[in-house]
Amino acid sequence: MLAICILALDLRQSLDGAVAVLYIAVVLVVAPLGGRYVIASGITAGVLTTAAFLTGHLSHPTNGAYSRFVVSLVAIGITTLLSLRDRSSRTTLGEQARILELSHDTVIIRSNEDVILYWNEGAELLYGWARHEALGKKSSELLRCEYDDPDVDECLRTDGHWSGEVVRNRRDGTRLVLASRWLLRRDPEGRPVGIIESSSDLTARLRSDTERLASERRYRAIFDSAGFAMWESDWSQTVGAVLHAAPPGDLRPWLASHPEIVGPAIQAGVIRHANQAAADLFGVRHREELAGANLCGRYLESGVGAFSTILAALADGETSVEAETRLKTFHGRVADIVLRVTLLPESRDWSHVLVMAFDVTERNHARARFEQASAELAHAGRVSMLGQLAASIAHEVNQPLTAIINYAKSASRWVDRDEPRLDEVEKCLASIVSNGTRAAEVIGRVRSLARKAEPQAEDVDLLDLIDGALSITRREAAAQAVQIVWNRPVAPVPKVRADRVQIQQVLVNLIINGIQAMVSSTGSTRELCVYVKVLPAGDVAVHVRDCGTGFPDGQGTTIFEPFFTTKSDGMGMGLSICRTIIEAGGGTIWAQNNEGAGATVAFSLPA
Amino acid sequence: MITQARVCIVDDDDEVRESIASFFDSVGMSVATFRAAEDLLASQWLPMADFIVSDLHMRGMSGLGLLHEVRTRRPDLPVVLMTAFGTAEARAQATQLGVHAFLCKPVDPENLLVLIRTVLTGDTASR
Repeated sequence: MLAICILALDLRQSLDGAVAVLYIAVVLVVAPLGGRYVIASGITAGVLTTAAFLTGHLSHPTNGAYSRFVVSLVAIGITTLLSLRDRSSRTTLGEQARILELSHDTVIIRSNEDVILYWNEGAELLYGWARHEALGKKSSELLRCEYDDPDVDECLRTDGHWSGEVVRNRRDGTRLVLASRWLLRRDPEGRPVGIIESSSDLTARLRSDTERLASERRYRAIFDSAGFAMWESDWSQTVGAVLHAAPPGDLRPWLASHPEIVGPAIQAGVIRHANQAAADLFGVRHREELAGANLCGRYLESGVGAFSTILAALADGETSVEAETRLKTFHGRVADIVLRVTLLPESRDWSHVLVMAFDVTERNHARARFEQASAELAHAGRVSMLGQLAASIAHEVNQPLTAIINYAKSASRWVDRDEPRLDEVEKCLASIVSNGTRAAEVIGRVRSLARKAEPQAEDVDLLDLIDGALSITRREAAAQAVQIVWNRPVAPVPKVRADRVQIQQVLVNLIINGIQAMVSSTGSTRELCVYVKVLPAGDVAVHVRDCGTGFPDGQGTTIFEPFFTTKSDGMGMGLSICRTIIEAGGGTIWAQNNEGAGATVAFSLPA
Repeated sequence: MITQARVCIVDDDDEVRESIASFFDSVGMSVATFRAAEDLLASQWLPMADFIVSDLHMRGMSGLGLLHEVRTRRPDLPVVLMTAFGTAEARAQATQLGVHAFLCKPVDPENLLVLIRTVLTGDTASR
């Protein structure tokens, strides 16, 4: 619109002047719209000026007209260029101002009189005053700024800037520690006009530093005062030694069979620091003596297996692993220890490995003592059981002996006949042999039960053991007029891992208990039923079912407690020993009353 | 004649039973063996038997049961009971039922033979 008016004015030629210079106004008006508009308006103004000149002065150009035309064009051109440059620097300034706005640091501009002229978002957030509240206020009054440095003014005057720590108030009254950088503002003549400053909150950083320090101290205190041995090691050389040497595949068995790799790998692990408990464990006076040492010489042969487990697990990506080994202290004491090795966070290269060691020597001794006591108790139980069976056993041996004597006397008679019958003699001799074998077998079984030997786990066929137990107790059953029903499966059952003698003991015990439960019973049926079941999990269960009086209500579990007995002359240890034996073998034993008469006691063992 | 004597032996232990049988066989007696008292009671041998030797404790009917049954059918037939567990109570019961002898195992077959001979010759003499 403005351009059209200027064009109209220019074309009238009545005015003797460079009217076209007025196009500058158009360029200036358009300038805020953007660079393209500035250029377009400049070119348009040039074109319109040229057009007006040609229209008015082409036929009779004058020198004055020419000079006005050229001056107009130059003025338009310079205005356009200046507008473009001004726009570019405005953009830069705008971006810088935006950055100041967005900065998390506080940016404040103060005048010479300490009046706040600028207050960014960072300042709003940190100090708590909004911009409109802060602007125009005196900075020293608002923020109650304090600093220790007496040379701030001097520094600003000579260097033009200062940086240091200041303490200021927030709106809520809390004090802030800030790292502040101050810059002296000057006017074009170089006179100071105020200060621009940027500050960041040290309080938060100080707090996190303090917390980190406190956490570090806490960790250190736990580490130092822990009642068990702990040390931090650098295993970065260990990982290399292991992984470079090992073939692909399962690492553990390979390592276990290569002590020449595991040994140096242990040696490559160096203790950074250890706690006092570790020093006590290894038998050194000061924990500092352990720093820088490796523990290679301390571990006994079993260490290879334990370290194979540990190294393989860590190489497999686990961050924590446990293994038991033995070590020799500097005093020569051999200790059983459980090692728990943990890769500390951000220690992918195994450079920070925390090793905890629990001395389980005493626990292992106690366990060994317990196992020995259990074995002795079981043995005592067997001896006591054999005592109960003495009459039956004597009978079992007596029967074949009786037969042997009879056959021998019979053979003698056959020989003494007028016509000796050697065929009969031969039959007698064969029978003597078989009966002698039978007696020896009974004695062998009894002896194996009476023998005091360490329990030994082996693969055991429960069907065979039941056969044996029934042969020992058969006479007892007969004496009590109890019918034994043994539903022996035709197909074999899975073998179980157990101690043969002790399981035999359990079987005999359950069978005798079943028989005795029926002695006092008035029921017409005296039947003891033994049967075997293979459970879904693959375990094998043996059930002994009697037709006796059953357990008094609610005693299905207490019967396995020591000294529980329903017999006037019983010690009440039999079933308790049975439970110890079965549970030591990883099995379970249970009892329940039958729906009809009597009760069933059963146990299962893992295959 | 003693050698023709018909002896029945009842014992649920195969070896003991057969060994006694072998001995009586060797001295020329007729011997029949039975695993259970019920078997003897059901057999043809009971009416013509001269002597019964039986175990006391057996599956099924006991020696005392057999003795009781034999007394009703053959009141005079001599019965000898053998046992490894001879309780006074059992002995008293057997005596009351008229047992010929109540012996503790192991029983010497020679002694048994003497016993049978004494009974049978005495028997023969009384005829």
